[in-house]
Amino acid sequence: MDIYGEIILDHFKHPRQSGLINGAEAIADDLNPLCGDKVKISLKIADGKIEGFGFEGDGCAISVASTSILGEQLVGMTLADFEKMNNEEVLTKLGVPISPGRIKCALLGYSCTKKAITVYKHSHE
Amino acid sequence: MQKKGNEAKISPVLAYTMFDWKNVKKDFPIFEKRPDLVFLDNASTTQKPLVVLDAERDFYLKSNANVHRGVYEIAAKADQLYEQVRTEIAEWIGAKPEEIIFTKNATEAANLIANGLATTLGVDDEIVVTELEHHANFLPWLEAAKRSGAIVKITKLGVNGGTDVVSEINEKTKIVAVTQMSNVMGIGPDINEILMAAKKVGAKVILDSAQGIVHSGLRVDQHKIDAAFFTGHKLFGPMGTGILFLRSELSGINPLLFGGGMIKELPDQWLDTPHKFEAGTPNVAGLAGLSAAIKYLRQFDVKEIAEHERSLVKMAREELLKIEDVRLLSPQNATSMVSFVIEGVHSHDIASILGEEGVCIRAGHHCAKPLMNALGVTASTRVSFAMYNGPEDVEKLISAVKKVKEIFT
Ligand SMILES: Cc1ncc(COP(=O)(O)O)c(C=O)c1O
Repeated sequence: MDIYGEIILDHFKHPRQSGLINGAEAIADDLNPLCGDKVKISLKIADGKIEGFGFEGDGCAISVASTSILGEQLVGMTLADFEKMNNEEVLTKLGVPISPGRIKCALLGYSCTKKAITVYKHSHE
Repeated sequence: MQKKGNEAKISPVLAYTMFDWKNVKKDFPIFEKRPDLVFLDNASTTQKPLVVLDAERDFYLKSNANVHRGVYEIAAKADQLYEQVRTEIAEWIGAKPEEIIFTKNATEAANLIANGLATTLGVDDEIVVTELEHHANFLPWLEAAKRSGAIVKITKLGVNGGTDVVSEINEKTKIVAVTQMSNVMGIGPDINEILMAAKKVGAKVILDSAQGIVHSGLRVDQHKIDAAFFTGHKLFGPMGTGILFLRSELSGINPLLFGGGMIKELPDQWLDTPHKFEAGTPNVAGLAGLSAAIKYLRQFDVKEIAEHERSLVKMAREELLKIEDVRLLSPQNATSMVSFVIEGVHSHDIASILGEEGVCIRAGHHCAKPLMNALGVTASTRVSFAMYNGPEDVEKLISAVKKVKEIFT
């Protein structure tokens, strides 16, 4: 199957939850030094649950689309469930095969979200 | 055939280029194993002709032994081979054998010279580099400056890939470290002009020849450069082989590596140059391969290769410009490469789609972040040619780029 399928291209051209959330509880940015993809993620968190997801990204279609797709899944998810997720699951949800050279792009949004949540948890312990 | 001494045969189809790239391609076994390979990432690394693979294998098959250690026959042979490669390279670039230092790549060579010169620098001394530099000829100088208190001056990218180095050179300048050819723009500053200005103020000139030597050659007897470096794998040779030319006058600098094979007397009386800079077991087989690569390359006229590559550059530029939203970054007179962006499409997506079509090109910042910033892009796409590329490769490139446009519109 083609990596640049309709869904990926649609999310790239029209990213969901694009833009940062004002007054977000958790925020982080990350960078893929290989290709210079940049992403910034903000999360609204209440009662151990992700209530809102907003991001800003400058990068390739894979990094932007994968972050957009991830965001759709995360809204409404508890932090406990988020922690149970792993790289493979994130990649599977994209629905297209990701070549080894593009895995970092496809996981950029996920790793950035993990970073934001780790920081959030440290400050709420 | 363009191999020297043979008469050139001009095919009517390819009348625009004298160069018989089709025959050359036959010397490179990877194209036999992968007939569909469209390899346009030669500025990153080149493919290897069979003679190079044979030379490496021959060393391990027939005379594998360490250098500088043994007295038995094959050890003596290894030593002889090692020094013979040094002599050949010296002769090729117009240096003395003892001015040729073996390293593992251009990066190590750059670190060796920058580290060695760092102790000669003081507070407020100036090192001039350009915005065109590869990180290999940039980060080592930043480190040298950090350690010595010297200042790094970075000359700005001008029009058409030029940069004005000369007006940055003054009495405070101690080192001018510049690229012979940018790995993104395919051109470099005027070395003669730089040498003249630098010599007037007693500054040393260091040349990053990693790209330049492949497409324009290097003669350190004609250009009185103080040091220059290049890397074997971009020269059709094996990975893990690098060369630093270090003019005799600079042989007093500190080594970068310490250990076996570089000491005269404990604790710190080093052997003479070049051996004092070559601690540890070197890549002898790799150097046998590099020697074969250089001999292979020297059968051709470097000007003819450059002309061939320029005709491919011209063709690629013309065709790329016909595609909507393509913007070329490299200048028209670039020898062997075309760098471009497609507005609205990230270079990594371009590379992925081209990759699926079997077209190998490079995307990203090309280890040249100052240049990317100067060009106002975070990443770009680079097509880079070698002597075995032909118009067919450009045609496949162009149809793949058109596919990118189809997918993204
Ligand atoms: C201009 C330039 N300098 C230095 C280097 C570094 O070469 P190496 O990675 O073999 O050390 C490169 C290779 O990418 C280059 O293009």
